[in-house]
Amino acid sequence: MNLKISALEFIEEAKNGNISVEEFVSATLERINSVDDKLHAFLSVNDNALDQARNIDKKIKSGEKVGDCFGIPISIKDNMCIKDTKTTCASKMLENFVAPYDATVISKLKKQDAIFIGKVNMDEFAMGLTTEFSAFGPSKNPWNIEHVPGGSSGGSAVSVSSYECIASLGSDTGGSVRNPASFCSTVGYKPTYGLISRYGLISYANSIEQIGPLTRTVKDTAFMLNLIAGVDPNDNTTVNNNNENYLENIDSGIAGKKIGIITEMIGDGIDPEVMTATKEAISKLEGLGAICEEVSLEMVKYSVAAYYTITATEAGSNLARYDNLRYGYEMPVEGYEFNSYISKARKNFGPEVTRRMIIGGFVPSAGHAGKYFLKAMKVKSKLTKEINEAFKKFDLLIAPTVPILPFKIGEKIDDPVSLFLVDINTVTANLTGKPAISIPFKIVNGLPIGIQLMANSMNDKMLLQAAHALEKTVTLPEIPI
Amino acid sequence: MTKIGLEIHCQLTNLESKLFCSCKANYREFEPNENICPVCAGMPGSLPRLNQEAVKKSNNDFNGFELFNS
Repeated sequence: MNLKISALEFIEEAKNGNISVEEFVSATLERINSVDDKLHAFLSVNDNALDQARNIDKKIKSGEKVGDCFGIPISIKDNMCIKDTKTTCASKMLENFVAPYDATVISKLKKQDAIFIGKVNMDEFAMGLTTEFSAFGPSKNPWNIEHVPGGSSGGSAVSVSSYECIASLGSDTGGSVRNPASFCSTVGYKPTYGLISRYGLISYANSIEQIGPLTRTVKDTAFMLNLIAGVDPNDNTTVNNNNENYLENIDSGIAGKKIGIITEMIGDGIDPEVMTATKEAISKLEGLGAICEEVSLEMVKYSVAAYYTITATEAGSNLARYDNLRYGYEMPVEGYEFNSYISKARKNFGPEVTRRMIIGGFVPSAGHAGKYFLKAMKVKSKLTKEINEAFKKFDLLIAPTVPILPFKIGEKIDDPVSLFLVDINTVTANLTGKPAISIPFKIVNGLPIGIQLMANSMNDKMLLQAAHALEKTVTLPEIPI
Repeated sequence: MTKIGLEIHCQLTNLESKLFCSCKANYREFEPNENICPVCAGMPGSLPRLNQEAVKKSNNDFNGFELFNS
């Protein structure tokens, strides 16, 4: 059984009866069994996957109506609620939390007969960019298992790139979909803010985070977007996309498009190999008829500081509910006063989450808000103004997704500030609400490099067309696992 | 010009559903924990959905004041 096919190829084959969904899902489960000991992408695997696959096969054979997914095995980041399934956020605080309801993206995909093959690893509460902050141990990069897979949606990227599933859903607060997509060589998409409902996604920083697909191809991302984008009455921030078909005209190409190269994202600290790859990407785009020139976004240099200030503030507020009273882990109440029980119970948060909650309590507090939180909000609005100005002149913006190559596990874990700076090229899209995509571009010394394209709000379709054009110029070696 | 912010609390007794979800607001004719959903239980991942009728009523009752725009 060839597991290395895209979602659209799978659907074509399943529709025509060339492959049985049961056999494919069973081969996928075997693949998980054989490689996941080494990679640790999965936190739990769906026991009913084979039964669900059999049901879909039955429907296909009897000519009954089948949902658009035809049983594609999809992995789900463990911060999205699936009814009656453990949703841990890779945290000891939610180790035994069984969600009593489906997230909107989950119910939409269920209706289309997707199979949720398992829940995948992440940094605790999506805070981090290596999966090293998972309470259940890090995931490994399938290109070289001594290296980090990126994060926080690391399990999503590992599972897609190592053929443990066909596609995955992650969440992107400051690059958490694009960063692991770049490190593991998959496509990773952060849509326009509000395009996909966040209902059922365990909140970290509501004002900037979005759910996004990780897939093998740009076309698969467009396909997933068709299924999950659009207004949801349960999420007041969702926007109307007029039922846009993102697959239609995806071959439109990029001729005549103006692309801005963001000066601040190819400057100090960039790895020379990443710089070379970026230049190659630009010349390929020019070869396809695009017009590229540099553009400066001065506020980018303050973006990471603003990002961490704003997200920590929202995290501090969102995570206040984890007091172990209504859901959580087993901890007897005897011998504690009310407040001492809660503060003891909350010691089960990992170091990174604790760090961000402490920062989040401090930066917006009376006497300090003017110096930190309000300044961060000013950076956010100035950056938005700058990027909107840039989009008057350019259709797209380009930069490497991450300025450095995937580093070794443990290399940066004790140095939070240098880890924070890895986010420099991705947080701008979150702070400004713009759509952005990471496209697998090159493998250097066995390690992947991804290229990021950004577009203006609600120009998701044009962005996917451009990404597809760039993707078609790339051939990558086989993954060594 | 001096601007003064007022926070006014009042009970709206004739709403069909709760303020932040679509569960029934009537608590008199039901057993405990009957009218409950992931939103009013504060389950991880659930988001509040503001009752439009409540906003309308508060806007009518406090004409001339600027309240949340929905």
